[in-house]
Formats: sequence, C-alpha cells, structure tokens
Amino acid sequence: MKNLFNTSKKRFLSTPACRLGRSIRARETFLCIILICIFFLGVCLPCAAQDVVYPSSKGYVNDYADILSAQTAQEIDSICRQIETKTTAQIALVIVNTTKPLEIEQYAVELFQRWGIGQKEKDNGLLLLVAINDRAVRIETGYGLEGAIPDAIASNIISQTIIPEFKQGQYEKGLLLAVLSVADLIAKEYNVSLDLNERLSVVRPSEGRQMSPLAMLVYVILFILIFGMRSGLLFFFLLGPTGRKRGGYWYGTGAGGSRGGFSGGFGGFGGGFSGGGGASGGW
Amino acid sequence: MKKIWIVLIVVGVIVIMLAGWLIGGLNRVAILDESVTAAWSQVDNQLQRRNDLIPNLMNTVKGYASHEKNLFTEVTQLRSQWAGAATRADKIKAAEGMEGAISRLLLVAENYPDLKANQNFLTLQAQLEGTENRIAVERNRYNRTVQVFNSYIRTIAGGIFARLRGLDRAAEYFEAEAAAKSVPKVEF
Repeated sequence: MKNLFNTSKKRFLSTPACRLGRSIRARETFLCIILICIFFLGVCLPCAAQDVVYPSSKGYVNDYADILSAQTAQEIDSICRQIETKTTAQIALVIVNTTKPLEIEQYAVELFQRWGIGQKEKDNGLLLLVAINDRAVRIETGYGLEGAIPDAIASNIISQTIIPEFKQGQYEKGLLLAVLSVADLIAKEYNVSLDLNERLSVVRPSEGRQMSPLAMLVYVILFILIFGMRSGLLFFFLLGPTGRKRGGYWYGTGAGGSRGGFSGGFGGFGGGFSGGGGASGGW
Repeated sequence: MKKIWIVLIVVGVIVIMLAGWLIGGLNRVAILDESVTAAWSQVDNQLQRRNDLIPNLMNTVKGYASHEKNLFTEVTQLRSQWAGAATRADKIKAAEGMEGAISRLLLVAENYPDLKANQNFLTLQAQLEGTENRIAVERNRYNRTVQVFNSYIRTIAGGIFARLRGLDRAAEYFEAEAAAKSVPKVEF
C-alpha cells in the first residue's frame, strides 16, 4: 500500500501539468514578494521635504556672502584656532545672505545642531551668525558656554560692538571685534591667555573709552598695513628652508607640527549641542 | 526522521524571530517613553528658569509703573499656579498663562521710556528673550519626541506592545499658547 502511494505521488509530481502548475505558483509567489517589498520601500522611504538649505561647514569662518577680505577671514580663523587649541571650545562664524523662511533664531539652532559646533561632551560651541540681507545677527551659545557668555552679555556684545560697526558698514571690523570679545570671554572662562598682536589689541573694544573717528581711522589704516606686511613676511618664511620655525610668527599656536593658522588643518566640528541660548540683534 | 528535524528547526527559528520582534517592540516602547520624559524635563527646566526671572522683572517694572496692580497680582497668581502644578498638563497650562502675563508686562514697559532705558530692565529683557528662545527650542524637541512616541503607539504592533507594558497613554503636545492668540490689552 505504501509503495503504491509513494510511486503514484512521485509520478504525479513529475507530470508536466503539475510541474507547470508549480512553476506558475512559484513565479506568482515570487512576484508577490517583490511587490510587497517595493510597497514597503515606498512607504518607508523618508520623504525629505526640506525647504531650507543649510550651508556646509568650511572651517571656523564660513563667509557665504563674500563680505570678508581674505586677511580678516584669516585673522578670525587664527583666533578661533587658538581658542580651540587652548580651550577646546569651537567658534564658528557664518555669514549668509538670508535665513528665510526661518527666523534667525530657528536657523541658528538648526545650523548649530547640524554642524555640531563644540566638543560633544562639553557642548562648548559658539555660533556667530550674520544674515546680511535680513540685517540680522545672532550669537548662539552651546550649553557649555552659557556660563561664560550668558544671554545678557551676548546681547551686549551685539548691541555695543557689532551693531554700531555694522551701521557704518564696517562689517569686517565689527565681526573681528565681536570674535575678539567672545574669544576673550572664553579664554577667561578656561583660564588661558591668548597671544594676540599688540597692535590688534588697540583696536579691541574697551568699556567707556570713546575713540575719535580720526584715531579709529588711523588705527584701522595701521592695522591693514601691518597685516599686509605680516602676511608678506610670513609667506616669505614659509618659502624658506625648513630649519625655520613655521607658523610661530603671527598667532602661532606653537604646538609641534601645527601649520600655524595659514590654511587647512581644520579638523571639523565636535558634535556639540545648543539649547537656544544667546542673543540676536538687527541693524 | 529527517523531516521532523527540519520541521523542528523551522519552528524553532520562527519562535526565535517572534521572540526577537516581541522583545524589540517592548523595548522600543520603553525607550520612546523615556525620551519623551527626558525631553519634558528639559522643557520644565527652562520654564522654571523663566519663572525665576519673573520676580526681578516685576520689581523693576513696579519701580516705574506701580499702579499696574492688576497685572502684578495676576502674575503672582500665575507663579503660584506654576508652583502648584503637578502633572504635565497642569504645567503646560500654567506656562501658557505665564507667557501672556509676561508679554503684558513687557508691553507696559513700552509706555515708560525711563523704564525702557533702565539698565536692569534691559538686562532682564535680554535674559527673558534668551529664556523664551530656549523654551521654544526645548518645546520643539519635546514635541518631536512626543510625535515619534504617539505615532508608534498608534501603529498596530506598537499599540499592542504599549498596552503590554502599560505605556499606552498618548503624551500631550506642548501646543501654541491660546494666550498668544488673544491680543494683549493696553490700558492707558
């Protein structure tokens, strides 16, 4: 009896009709599976509806509106580099044309988060965001720097250092002074001192001292002349024999092997977070 | 003999996969719920911070506009409401009320140029703006975690897991204030 059943089953299974049936069923099942997979993929693929395009980070200085000269950009870059080397805090300067459709506050927080300014564990990042066409500026502090630069002080820096300069069209000076103020505060918080050119410190803001416009003009001219001279000399030194101390001339960090603030050497932002602290202003 | 083994292995694999799916789902509910709680505590922090700024602001304004008594009593009431709020929903309501009161306080300052120039007031204003921004940011993040959690417990599998763990209550969103929608009255 068993034998009969087995052979008849085997025979049946090998008949062309059954094989055809099986292959059709197999194809159908296969197609079904494919369709289900496509369906799920279609449903699960995230629809990226991004109206706002955020720029990518290029370094400490991200001038997407082309208002900084190469020298000022380099200056600010050196300050930021020194700050990071000495305190691990990261300052980012971002100049865009506009932050629309978002308000500058929203844009700043998003950008801060995307770039991850500041070290991950310490959240010691600071974003100085300028929207030129919107005539808005914002200082956004990471959680870790909220003690060094509370909102009131950030507001102060904006209203007393940045806005007056911006109102006169002195974007570069305003930003340089602002970065200096911020760097000063951070350095004080971390108990380090910054090596800055003494000429530059003359241009720094000081409480209550009113400089006459003529004096300021003279200082600015001297400033630019010295920059020109220094960069020229630095270039010359770099071309010289390797025995020379590299990069130690200007804002040299002095650490072994560092390429002293000329270009390159930016390691990326550390993944820090901001909670929305800081201040905004407009001119 | 062989067939039994194959069947057993297949059944075993299926059981393991089911168990993995079950454990994963149950874990996910707990993780999402915890992220909502953590995000809420951040919002709570910032709201508390704003709450602590209020007395200073009120005293500074009082120095110049002492006759705005109604407003001051209202603010004091709202502060005690916040202090007494226990559940999340209560706190959200208290916070929304506070927002309206603060905007009215600042609006009062618009009528007093001396107050507006007062350094103390300016500092407080900067601090308040900063805190408001922080609240907005944390609210945003909180709402995002709530969205993820609520969406998950509304899915078929997620709903089952949530019920199994007793976490199937949807979290409340921190919505835009009803107070902001009403225009603050300026009384001369």
